[in-house]
Amino acid sequence: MSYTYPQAAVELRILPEDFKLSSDPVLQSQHRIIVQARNVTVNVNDYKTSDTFSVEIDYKSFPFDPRLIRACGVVIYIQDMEHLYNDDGSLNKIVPGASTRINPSVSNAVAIGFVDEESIEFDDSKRTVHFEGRDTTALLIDQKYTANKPIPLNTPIDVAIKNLLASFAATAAIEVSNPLGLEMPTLAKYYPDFGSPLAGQKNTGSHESYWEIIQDMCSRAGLICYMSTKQLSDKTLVPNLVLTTPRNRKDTKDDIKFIYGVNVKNLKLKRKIGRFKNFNIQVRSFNPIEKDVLIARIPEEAERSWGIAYGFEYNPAITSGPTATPSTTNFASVNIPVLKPDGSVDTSQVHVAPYITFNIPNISDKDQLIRIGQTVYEQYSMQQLEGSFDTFEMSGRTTSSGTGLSKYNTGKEYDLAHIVKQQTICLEIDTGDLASISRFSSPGLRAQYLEQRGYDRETANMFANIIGKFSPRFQLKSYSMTVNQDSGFKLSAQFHSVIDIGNIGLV
Amino acid sequence: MNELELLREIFKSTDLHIGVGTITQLGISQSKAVLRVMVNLLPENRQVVAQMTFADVYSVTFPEINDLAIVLFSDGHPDNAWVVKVCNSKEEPIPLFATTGNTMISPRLGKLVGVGRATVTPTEPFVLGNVLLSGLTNLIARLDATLSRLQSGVICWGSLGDLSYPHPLFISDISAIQEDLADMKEQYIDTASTNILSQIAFTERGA
Repeated sequence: MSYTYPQAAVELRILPEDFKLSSDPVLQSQHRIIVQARNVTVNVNDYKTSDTFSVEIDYKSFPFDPRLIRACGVVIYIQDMEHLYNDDGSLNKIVPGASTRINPSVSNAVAIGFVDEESIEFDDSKRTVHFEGRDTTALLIDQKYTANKPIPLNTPIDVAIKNLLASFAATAAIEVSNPLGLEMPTLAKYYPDFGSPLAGQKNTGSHESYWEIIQDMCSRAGLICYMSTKQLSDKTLVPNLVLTTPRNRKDTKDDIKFIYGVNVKNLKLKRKIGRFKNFNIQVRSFNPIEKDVLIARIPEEAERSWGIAYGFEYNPAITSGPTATPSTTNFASVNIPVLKPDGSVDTSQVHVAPYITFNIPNISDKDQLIRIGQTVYEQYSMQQLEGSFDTFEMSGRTTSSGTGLSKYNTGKEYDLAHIVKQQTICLEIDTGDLASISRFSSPGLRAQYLEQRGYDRETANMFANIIGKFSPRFQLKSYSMTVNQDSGFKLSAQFHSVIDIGNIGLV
Repeated sequence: MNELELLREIFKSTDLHIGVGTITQLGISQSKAVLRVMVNLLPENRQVVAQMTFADVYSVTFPEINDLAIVLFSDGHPDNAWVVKVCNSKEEPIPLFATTGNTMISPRLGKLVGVGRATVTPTEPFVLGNVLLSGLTNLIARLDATLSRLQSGVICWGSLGDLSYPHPLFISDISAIQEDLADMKEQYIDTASTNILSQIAFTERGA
């Protein structure tokens, strides 16, 4: 538990109502107002939906009736002010755009967006102004694609998306980034008969929004994308479209450590045991020129490096022969165990788990189809295990080289106000419940310990071998960050499993 | 908006399965396997790239710019677009012969009709029946006139030793027939606009 003095300020970029029906809002000048917020909540949702925020301001700080505002942009600043008063006795107030303590190269700006709704509420106890809005994703979600022509895909996808965003004035300033340094594919190359006139362009639907188009392009590239923010070198916060994969490729030392009993409250963890446990993925694309349906089955045809990293058993017997190619390799399909009437597994039968099938248009390249399938597999796998927790701490620490509880204070300090989507976390439980059994380093000693406490031998052996073997790594799916003048900082995070087989448990 | 209306709005399908528009661009693939066309869907003025389909794989007529086309989107996906038909309009009225229920194959203005194998450019013009009939009739008439002249009139006259000379009347009659034949050759063989060959329908001998 640490003492923090969280504060939130809101920069309102207001286009005032001029009470003229025919005036052009573009010609109106924008006014910037900075107000201290009573309550700020930033909800960072999953990557396909817009992030939202709500701001509550004292009417005396912002005495504006909703009828006076035509449009309003918002930048939210959150910072741990460390102390309440300055040395001269004045109040230590948050300064929008000021450097943060933990990382002076970034400012305290955490979110950028637009107000959807403003309301004022007067009652006997308080007079408040409420703003509710969404981040810049809303611009892309609300804006229908009106260029009315197919989108050329003959450039790397990041360039194609940037060109698409540039075609609409309001989205032209959105940055496109590739934080993992992935190779950005050129989608036109995968079209049947690439290079022919009119090939390599993406049609758009009559009601498709920019966001739907971008999501579709990313899915064909085997990527996911989400809207985030990025601080430029001058610390200006700009919207940033992140192109990435569901799988986190970061080192475990960058995980932020959360420990129930130390800096976590209200931990919930659940597993959907029956639903997605065993499945295969199949991605299909019809090639009308070849009259052929190209199929990629995952994990069977997954890239060798991907499959091995995922934990599938590589089958070297299939690396040679007419069906093997240098870029693909074969793994066994995921199977469902067949049970005998007595409940034991019938090893003589193999029942292949169902294939969840997706149709993707205009992909005539098998390797690309495999990459798409791998991304889909990663997305589905993550849904197996999920949970949520709350924390009231404003700073955390990354893990150092290990994952033990003693390493909690040795990692790099991390400002939780700047936590990001897809952030990997290391979530441990420090209740003392496992303290006794953790003392024993070998499964044999642990089994003996359990037997002494009344478990039968078989059960003791089973638990001794698997206890603690689960990975403590998770990935943030969404989170809600609140700064309240009365109750302080709160981070409520939803997480799901991260694909990681490096955990060795207690052994 | 009540909840039912809200749900109806959420689940409302915006997929377009069939659209109509004008063709604005044509592009044949490098493999010559498909013709792609750009169609400007109406009334929304949205352009899509679609694959052209024809009456049959070997019964093919390319559309022209500004043709009115029916576009089908399989699965309602905008990228699975197929032009399944082009439609008549005021610019391309229904061929006159077809208006009485007849079957008509009309090439586009300035284009030809070919009948033959898909790998061959047909160069053999079809023969025009009526013109051929007229030519043969004229030819037979001239042949008949020649034979009648041989049977009926004086052919030679005078004698100078073993030599005799064609009669001037016979020479005159034969020369007239000869001139007719020359005219017929010009009409039925040499002149493209009057000869027995079609200028728009071609075939090939075949194997």
